[in-house]
Amino acid sequence: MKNKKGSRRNRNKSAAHNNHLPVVDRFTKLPDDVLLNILDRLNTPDAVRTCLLSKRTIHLRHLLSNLNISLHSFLPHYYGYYTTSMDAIRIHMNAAVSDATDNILNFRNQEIPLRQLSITFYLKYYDCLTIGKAVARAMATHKLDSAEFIILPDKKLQYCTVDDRRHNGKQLMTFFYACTDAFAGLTRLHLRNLKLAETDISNIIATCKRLEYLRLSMCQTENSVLQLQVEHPWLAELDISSAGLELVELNSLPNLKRLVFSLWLCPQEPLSFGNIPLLSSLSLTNVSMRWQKVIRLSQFLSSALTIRDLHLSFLSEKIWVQPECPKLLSPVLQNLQVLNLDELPEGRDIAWTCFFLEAAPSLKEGFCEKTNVEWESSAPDGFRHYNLTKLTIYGFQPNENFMGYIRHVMEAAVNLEDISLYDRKVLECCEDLDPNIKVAPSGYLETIQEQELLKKQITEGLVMVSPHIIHFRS
Amino acid sequence: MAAAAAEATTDGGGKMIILISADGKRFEVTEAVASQSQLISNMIEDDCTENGVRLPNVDGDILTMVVDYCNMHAGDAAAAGDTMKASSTEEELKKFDAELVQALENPVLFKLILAANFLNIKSLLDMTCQRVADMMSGKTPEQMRETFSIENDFTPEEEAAIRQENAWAFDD
Repeated sequence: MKNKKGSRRNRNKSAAHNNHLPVVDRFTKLPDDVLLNILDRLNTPDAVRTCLLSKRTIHLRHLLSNLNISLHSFLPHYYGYYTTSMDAIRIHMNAAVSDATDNILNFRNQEIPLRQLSITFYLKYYDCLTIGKAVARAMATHKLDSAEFIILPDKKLQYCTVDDRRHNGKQLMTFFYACTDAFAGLTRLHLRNLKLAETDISNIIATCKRLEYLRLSMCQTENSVLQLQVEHPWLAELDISSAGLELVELNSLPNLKRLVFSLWLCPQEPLSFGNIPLLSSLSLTNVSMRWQKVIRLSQFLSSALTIRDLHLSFLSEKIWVQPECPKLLSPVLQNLQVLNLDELPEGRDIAWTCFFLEAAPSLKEGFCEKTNVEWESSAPDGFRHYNLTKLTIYGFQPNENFMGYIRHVMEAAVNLEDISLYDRKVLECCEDLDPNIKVAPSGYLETIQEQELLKKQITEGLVMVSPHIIHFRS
Repeated sequence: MAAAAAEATTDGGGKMIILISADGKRFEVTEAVASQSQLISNMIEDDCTENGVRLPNVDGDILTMVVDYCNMHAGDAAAAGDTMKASSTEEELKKFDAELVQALENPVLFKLILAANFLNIKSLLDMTCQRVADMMSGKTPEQMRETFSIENDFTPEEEAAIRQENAWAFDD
């Protein structure tokens, strides 16, 4: 190793001070491709800061192929942080994102393919403009596999008035029209907390021709517009929450594979399914209001027959799906393999969940969360399920309801291979719970002896089932 | 798993290969285990593993870890036929990997990275690189310097120029 003269500052003495062996810098001695493998795993500002540490690595900052530049990388480290106003910090952070994007993209070695680009920023016009222009230039010179904008509101949701959201919407659209070439090359877009004019969302979707992932959180249109028609050739994943729309019509999404839709206010079904031949995963979350119709899946999903993975979340409130007889339901659930019933109201009977099992002959995995279960099949002796191999219950309690439920499933699902029982999930915020519901202390079994005993109790008297498929997990 | 490996040998499908570390330690592994290394897999294809594979860049203690890793990970392909077995091995594997990687510190971590790179075992290389990335993320440049003993070899003038050119990267 080349040793420099004693005159130069030796700043890594502190690292070696309590070790008599000289500490060797093995990091910068790694070959370039290994260093890039490591650096491309960091967020880009950290990766660049690392490159700037020594002459050996400084050139690598132009060779990164996975750029992830986010506001979060610019949270100030220094202690003065708490005395500075949040507004000033946000302005500083956003300016840093735009400077970094501009600097990194402009000085990049163009011979190195740029695979991924993701930028998270606030809607501040001049920063956005810098980012948009730099990204558009990069798109013109590179074929990006993935290009993402995550555009955040600079005010927290709870402090946002309708006027703030309208202002955000206008800012977004000004940015959008100034940088349509950047938007046209995006593959992923996440917008949040906006109020938009009538045709804005349609215009964005039409302009973002390469889009594969679109997430709209709290992106509402003016109240006169209550329907949204979606058509896009490449969109594979769509996530819409709190859109405030009466109806989202998925007219033609030939590549759509996953749809997440949450929190709707309209009285009827919020979605209509058109040409969606590949849709395999559907997640619906809602707090159902008194005026809202209970959804009949046999009708609602009658044009979405390809669903394999269904996730329904009730946020501990009213059950908004109607139990239906297997004859009606099985045609629409014929391909269902994984079912996840999430945040069921605690302390309530969920006997109704059995209709899924009877109606979904292909079901392989079932999940119930926060359940309290009794199950009676409409055909208790004759019904057999051949494909269910895995049942997972979160919020298991060793009481008669759960044990009876598991016994029933074990009897009916003759090929069941695994039952995983988890304790209650600890919620970050328990204020969401109905104050009338008493939260009983968890009776989840801690010791192996207790668990073994319970396994025996559950399977007692059942022929052809093994207690060993039951697992207590944490 | 040991029984399965023995069976494979008697079937003739699991030929044994000798790996020899820089300090002369010998490790006997099946072809299936060894061929997770792209380097050795190529050598097997070219039929040049007869007299053992000498690995002059890899010390015995590091090769022990590599062989353990490969032995552990050769199992998942074999058990893939049976979904239940595969899922339980998957969990074991995750645990094994997590424990292995958590225990890694400088300098063994960097020696293992170099071995994985030389032997071309992508999953092990990615896992160890991720470990270094995890150790770095969220650290200030000074902390990174300290963690990895990276010497500052810039003159004050050079450093000032870098700071000016990349002003966004510095807090002050």
